[in-house]
Amino acid sequence: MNEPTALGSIFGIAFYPYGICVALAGGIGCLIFIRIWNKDQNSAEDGFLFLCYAVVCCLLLSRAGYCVVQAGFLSVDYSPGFIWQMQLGGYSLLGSIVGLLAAAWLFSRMKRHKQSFATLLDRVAPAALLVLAGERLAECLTLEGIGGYVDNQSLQWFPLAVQDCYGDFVIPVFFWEALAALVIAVGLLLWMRKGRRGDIALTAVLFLGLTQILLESLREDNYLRFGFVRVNQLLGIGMALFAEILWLIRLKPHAWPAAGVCTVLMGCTAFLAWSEYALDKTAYSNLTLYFGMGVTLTLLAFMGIVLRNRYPVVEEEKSFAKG
Amino acid sequence: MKTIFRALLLFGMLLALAFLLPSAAPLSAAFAETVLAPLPIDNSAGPKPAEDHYLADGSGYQDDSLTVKIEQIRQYDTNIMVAHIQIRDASQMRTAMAGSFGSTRDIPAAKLAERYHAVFAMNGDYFNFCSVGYIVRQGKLYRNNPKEGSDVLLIDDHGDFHIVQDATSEKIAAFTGTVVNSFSFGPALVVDGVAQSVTKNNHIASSDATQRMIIAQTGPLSYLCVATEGPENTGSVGLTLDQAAQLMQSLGCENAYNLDGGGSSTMVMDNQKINALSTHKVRNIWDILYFATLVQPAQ
Repeated sequence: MNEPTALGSIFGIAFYPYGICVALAGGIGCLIFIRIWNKDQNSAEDGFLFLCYAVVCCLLLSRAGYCVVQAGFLSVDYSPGFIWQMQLGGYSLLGSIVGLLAAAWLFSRMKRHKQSFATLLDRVAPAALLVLAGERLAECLTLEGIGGYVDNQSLQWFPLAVQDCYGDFVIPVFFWEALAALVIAVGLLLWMRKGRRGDIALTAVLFLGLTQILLESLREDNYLRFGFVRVNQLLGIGMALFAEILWLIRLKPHAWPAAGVCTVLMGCTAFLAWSEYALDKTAYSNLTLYFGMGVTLTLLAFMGIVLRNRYPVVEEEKSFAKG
Repeated sequence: MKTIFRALLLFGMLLALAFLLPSAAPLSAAFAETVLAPLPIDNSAGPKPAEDHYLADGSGYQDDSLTVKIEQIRQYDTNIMVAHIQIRDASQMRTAMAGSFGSTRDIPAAKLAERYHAVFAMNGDYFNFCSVGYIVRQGKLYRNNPKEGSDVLLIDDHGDFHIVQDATSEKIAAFTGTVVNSFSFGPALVVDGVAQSVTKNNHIASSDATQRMIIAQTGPLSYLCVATEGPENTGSVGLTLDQAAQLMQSLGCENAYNLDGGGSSTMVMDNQKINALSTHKVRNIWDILYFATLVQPAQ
């Protein structure tokens, strides 16, 4: 990675290009959220308040998530007081997602705002994904989120490869992650008026989870891990299963169809776990394994969409969809 | 009188031959002393080795400061690659990391070796994977948290190996030399010429026959790097740690230390992985121990 260079400092606290880009992405995300909010609520006041909750919760829990995952290293490798010295960096996607959920939950618990948890999440999901896309793009400034080396000269072109600080060509996973988040966000914005309560957020959860499983597997730097397991892959499969199981429960299916869906979910999960293991530990071609992962993720996505769309729209939710 | 003078002159000239004819070939002192300055103890790369110093068919490397001889042997039904290394100065034995301390950047060992102009390199102990260990790299202490019951390899500024068994911070602090590099994987296989019996169960796959990677010292500035194949390689079984200890003793090592084996086992020469080539996948690693030349490219 490139050690980031500070652009300047204010009151002794340095500011960096990466931080500025994330702040810009956050600003764009906030504007989009307020626009969505205004369409439904006519007043942006509560929307801005929710965003304040969201920014604080995401920042703090993103930091907390990083510290939890790195707990074993904190007292040994990190400077004293690292947990509080947020200007030293160290944040996690896992924590920021939990932070967003926490902000929505807290806000929905306040009766004067009259906002349901699911509705809040539906409104914030596209904006959050746009912020994530901006954050991933900003990683080009620190050249984090990069994958393996691309030694084949015919493939040494963007977006398949970018040059690192040593002049070697590497896979720009950060760009692909940004692109994935952007595509999901745009899809959700286009689909915004057709969903049922909670479906927009769950769709975001499903697709973000599925893309994380594959893309995080490609990363070779600065990913968080529990032992051999990459945290964002665990998070990804957890998110995807959560969305699918919730949609399945909502359908109240008979025992056999439910058992069938659960079997497919378990089979896909087992195959994905085995594939990740096999990438390192077996002689199977990595290209074949990634192809298998891609097919499995597509199957999971297809199944999720089918489960979501089979639920009948009730009148109350039709009115929500129309705004 | 004239005859006596001439006889004495001839005798003197013959006597002079004893001094003037040490050998038909010139002695090494006949050549100008090559200035081969030690390398700095930091994270800088070594001088780039000249391609023509690599021996034909990948059997080694030879220049005025560094000799590497690669040998293939077969023991315990396993193909074993042995690299005999002789350096001129202790600073030529160096370590390098794939990224800044604390990052999880993994890269192929060959790429890391190329970046640091390594003549020969092998994987290290993957110390960023866990939070334990006594870690010194290129003279800088990164971590002082030895794992209970583990053995630590200290390499001092003379290039000598010192193995601290059942290491604790106190035991390591008692070492009076200057530690330039240390490794925290283990266990110790040979200590002061004696093969160790590896019965502890806290070492990775101690009783499994698998790929092993071993670094050893055979004499002053003289080392062996040994990579064994494992069951994933056609025609090889792999070695248990006990077998690895016996092997290293039989190769005449004073001190031998087990490094990260299994799929991480990687030996690199001339920027190519050279061991266990029947395993087509190359695992990315975090750190290497490498040997650099002192000969500058222009010389």
